Amino acid sequence: MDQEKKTLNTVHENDLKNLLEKFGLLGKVISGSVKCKFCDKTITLDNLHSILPESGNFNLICNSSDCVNELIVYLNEKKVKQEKL
Amino acid sequence: MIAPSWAVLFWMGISGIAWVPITISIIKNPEKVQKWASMISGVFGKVWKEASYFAIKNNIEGNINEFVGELNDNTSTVFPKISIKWTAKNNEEIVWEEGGIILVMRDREHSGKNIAHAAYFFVSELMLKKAKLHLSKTQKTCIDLYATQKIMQKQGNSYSEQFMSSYFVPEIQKDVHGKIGEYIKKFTNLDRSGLFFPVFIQELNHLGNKVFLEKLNQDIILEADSLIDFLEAFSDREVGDMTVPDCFHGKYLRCSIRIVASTKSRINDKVDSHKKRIGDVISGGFEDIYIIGSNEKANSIFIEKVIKSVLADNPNVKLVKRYAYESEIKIKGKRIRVDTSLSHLVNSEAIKYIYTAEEMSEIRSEIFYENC
Repeated sequence: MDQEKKTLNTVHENDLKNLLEKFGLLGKVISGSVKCKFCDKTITLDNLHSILPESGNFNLICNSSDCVNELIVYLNEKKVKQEKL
Repeated sequence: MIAPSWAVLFWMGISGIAWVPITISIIKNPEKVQKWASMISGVFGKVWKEASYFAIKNNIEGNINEFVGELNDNTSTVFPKISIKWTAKNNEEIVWEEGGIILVMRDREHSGKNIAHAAYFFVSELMLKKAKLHLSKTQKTCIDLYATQKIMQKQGNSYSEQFMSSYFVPEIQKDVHGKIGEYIKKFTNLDRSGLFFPVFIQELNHLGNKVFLEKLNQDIILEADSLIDFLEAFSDREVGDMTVPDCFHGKYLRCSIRIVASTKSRINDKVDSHKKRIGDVISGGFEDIYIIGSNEKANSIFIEKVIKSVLADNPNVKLVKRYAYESEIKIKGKRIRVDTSLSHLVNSEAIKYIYTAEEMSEIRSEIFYENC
């Protein structure tokens, strides 16, 4: 029996600029005008933990443990809401 | 024609024979092969860019899937494995989904950071996904921290330290009431006696498969805490102490641990007394029955006899898993490591999947666990 596999979408840092460019965010990140979705920290190419595409926007999350945990809680709560619908 | 020398034939024979265990080992341990492939490709990564993608992907998949494999061996549940998919690789298509995360992976010299981020995210998002919807934020965080730490520990100190400094320590430092520390201490005790994954995680997985027709209240959080306390008390019992609670009867979770290890019973082949004790919890409506005992050959055969006899009398009960592991037991206050066997019986007649609003509002007993 084939075991279920869950896909985790990832981007290599070598391709990060390319991805942000395609999302129209590279210039903003380089100029320091993008903030983390969960805190006020400025997102840089070095502290970016993940990208969350949502309702036509691309939210960026910094790599502080607080924000990663906030992200996990946020995704969980979203799941609960979706289950209720 | 020159005939091959005996020496050549001998070494050909050896190498031929040697391939058999190597091939078996590869088939049995695909995750280990992935980890080796990751290390080898890491060396080539400096001269071949593509190998860096290969190395990171195999390093993460190998490490996490090895843990998932062990988790599947140690519970009666099948947990999903992870598959890394690159997006925007070398200007190729951009893969993303609405509401789905794209995790940033650093180059191979940051492999500890990559695994820490991926493992924590994987455990938080996918392990006990449904059950965690009912738990408190602290309970969820502690399960995630503990399980991820188990993955990282296996990979050596540098990986473990990376995870500790990125996630574990900041959470402990923020926790002014010491709740996280308390849970982690309890999980460590459960794990020492081999009950964390095979019983605790297993029970929470069952909880995730239940349907609640009304919004769950604090009851379930309290019940999960009581299950932890019950398992911790059981983990700390002295060998031979028959007064420690061995039955947990919550509103949503009902399980019992039965020990089949008495030398006297075994020598006298007293299958019936054990059968009766197990039969009592089956008729008492317990969903899961965990039979624990020494995995020493004579006891292992005796456990098998007891289980066979129980199954013959109870067609609604199934043996879903039997496995062996090393655990700690306490004899006169001293802890020693022993080979242990755990068999998981499921009482299908007692399993309750749907809870109505009325059932959920019933006042439950204050006593969650007792010796039965």
